[in-house]
Amino acid sequence: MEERQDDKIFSEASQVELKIYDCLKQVLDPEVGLNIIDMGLVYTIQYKPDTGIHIDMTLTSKGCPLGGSIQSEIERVIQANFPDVPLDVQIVWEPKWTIQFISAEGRKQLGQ
Amino acid sequence: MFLQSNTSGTPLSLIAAHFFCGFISILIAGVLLLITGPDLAGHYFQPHLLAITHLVVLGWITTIIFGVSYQLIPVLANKKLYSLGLAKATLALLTAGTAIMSFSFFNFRLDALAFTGGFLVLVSFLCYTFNIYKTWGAGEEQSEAKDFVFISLLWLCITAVFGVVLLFNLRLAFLSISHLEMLKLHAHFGCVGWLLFLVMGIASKLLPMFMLSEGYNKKLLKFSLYSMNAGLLILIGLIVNGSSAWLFLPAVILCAGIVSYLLFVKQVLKRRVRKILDEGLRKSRLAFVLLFAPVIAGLWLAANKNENASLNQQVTVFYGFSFLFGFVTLLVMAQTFKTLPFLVWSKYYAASQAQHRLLPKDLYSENLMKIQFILFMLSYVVFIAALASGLPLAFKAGAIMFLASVVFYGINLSRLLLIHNGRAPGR
Repeated sequence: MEERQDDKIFSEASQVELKIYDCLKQVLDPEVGLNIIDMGLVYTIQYKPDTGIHIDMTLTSKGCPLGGSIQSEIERVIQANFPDVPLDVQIVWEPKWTIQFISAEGRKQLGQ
Repeated sequence: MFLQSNTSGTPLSLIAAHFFCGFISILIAGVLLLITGPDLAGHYFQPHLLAITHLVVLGWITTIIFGVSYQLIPVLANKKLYSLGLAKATLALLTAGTAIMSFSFFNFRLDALAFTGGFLVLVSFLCYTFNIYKTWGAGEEQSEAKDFVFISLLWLCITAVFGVVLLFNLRLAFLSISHLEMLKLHAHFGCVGWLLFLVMGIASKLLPMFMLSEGYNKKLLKFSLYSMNAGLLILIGLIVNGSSAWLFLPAVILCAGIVSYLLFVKQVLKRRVRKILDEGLRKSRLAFVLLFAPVIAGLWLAANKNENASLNQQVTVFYGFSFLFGFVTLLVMAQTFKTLPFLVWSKYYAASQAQHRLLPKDLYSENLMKIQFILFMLSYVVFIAALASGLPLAFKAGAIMFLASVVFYGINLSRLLLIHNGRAPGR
C-alpha cells in the first residue's frame, strides 16, 4: 500500500480504515467490472484495535448471487494486507442500494 | 452482479446441457434451411417449414429459455429451483418430443409418431410449468416480471394443448374452423403468448440490472401486458367466430402492447448509467430494434387480407421469419454470452478473482461474437431479399451465412464450456 501524506493527521485506526478502503478498490463487481467502492456497495469500514475490522456492505439486489464471491474476495484481500486482524463482513439491506450510490469516478468509468 | 450458480443451486451441467441441445437444434435447422431453403418461397403450411419452425421454436429457443430460466427464476425468487430431477426430465421429454415431431413433420407423417412427439412436448411443458410455479409461485413479492412469466406459462400450456388438438384435427378433421385459421392461433399463442411474454418478463428485470438503469415508467409494462393479452383474446374470439375481416383490431392492440414495451426498453437505455455496453447488451438492443419488423409485417397482413394472395404469402413467411430468426434468435445468441459466462466463472474462477485476473467477459471471444453477428445480420438481409425475389440461389446464400453464424456461435460456446474447465489460461 502507498504511504499517505496525511498519516500525521489521522489516528492509527483511521489510517487502517483508509488502507482498507484502498484494498477494497481491488475487489470488482464481476458483471460491471467496477470496484465495490465506486459501485457504492460498501457502507461502513470500521477498525478497532481490540475487535478488528468490521465492514458493512450491500449488494445490488437481494437475489444478487455474486454476493458470496464478492464477500470471499474481500476476505482474501483484507487478510493479505492485515493477516492477524479479525474481520467481520456484514451484508446489510438498509439503505437499499440504488444507482445513485455509484461514485463520480465509477460513472466516468462506465462512460457517463 | 447478477448470475451465479451456487446461489440458485442449479448446476452448471444442467444449464450447459440445455445450451448444447439448443445448439444442436439450430445447427440441424440451419442444415435443413440449406437443403430446403427455397421452400420458404412457397406457402407457409408445408412439411419442411413446419419441421424447421418447430425445431427452432422448441429445440433452439424454448430449450435455451428453459435452461436459462432454471438459473434466473431461482435468483428472482431468491430460493433454489424446486426440483432438479423434474428439470432433467423436462429436458429429456422436450428434446425427444421435438426430435420426433420435427422428423414427423419433415416427412409429413401425421401418424402415431407425430402424436407421440406432440404428447412428449406437452408433458415437458407441464413439468416445466409445475417446477417454475413451485419455485416462484408461492412468493409474496409481486412484480411485472412475475406477471409476464406466469402468464407466459399459461400460454405455453395452451399452445401445447392446442398443438396436439391440431395434430388430431389434421388426421381426423373434427373441427369446423379452417385448419389454417387454427394454425394462426397456435402460432400466435406460441410466439406472442409464450415466447414474447417470457422474454419481455425476464428482460424487464435483466435489462435495468445489466444497464444500471432506474427511473423508468413501469406503467408501460403494465399496459403492454394487458394490451397484448387483450389482443390475443380478441384474436381467439374473431377466429372462432369466423370474423377474419376484423383482424386489424387485435393486430393493432397487440402491436400497441409491443410498442409500449419497446418504449420501456428505450427508457431503460436512455436512463442507464452504464453508457459503454458490452457485445451482449449491444446485440440485445439490436434485437429489440428488429422486433419492429414483425410488428410492421403483422399490421400489414391484418390490413391487406386477401388483396394479393402471393404477396400475402411472402409477407406471412417474413412475419414468422423476422420474429423467430430475427428478433428471438438474435436475442438468444446475445444473451447466451451474458448469462453463461457467469455460470462458468462462478464455478471455476469466482473464488480466486485476483489470482486469475479473469472476469466473466474474458471467458468468451468478443471477436468471434462480432464475426458471428456480422454473418447473422448478412443472412437476415439475404433471406429477406430471397423472400422478396424468390431466387433459390439467394435462399442458399442466406442459409450458408446463417449456418456459418451458427458454427461461430458453437465455437464460442465450446470455448466457454470446454476450454475453461477450471484452469486459468496459461496454466
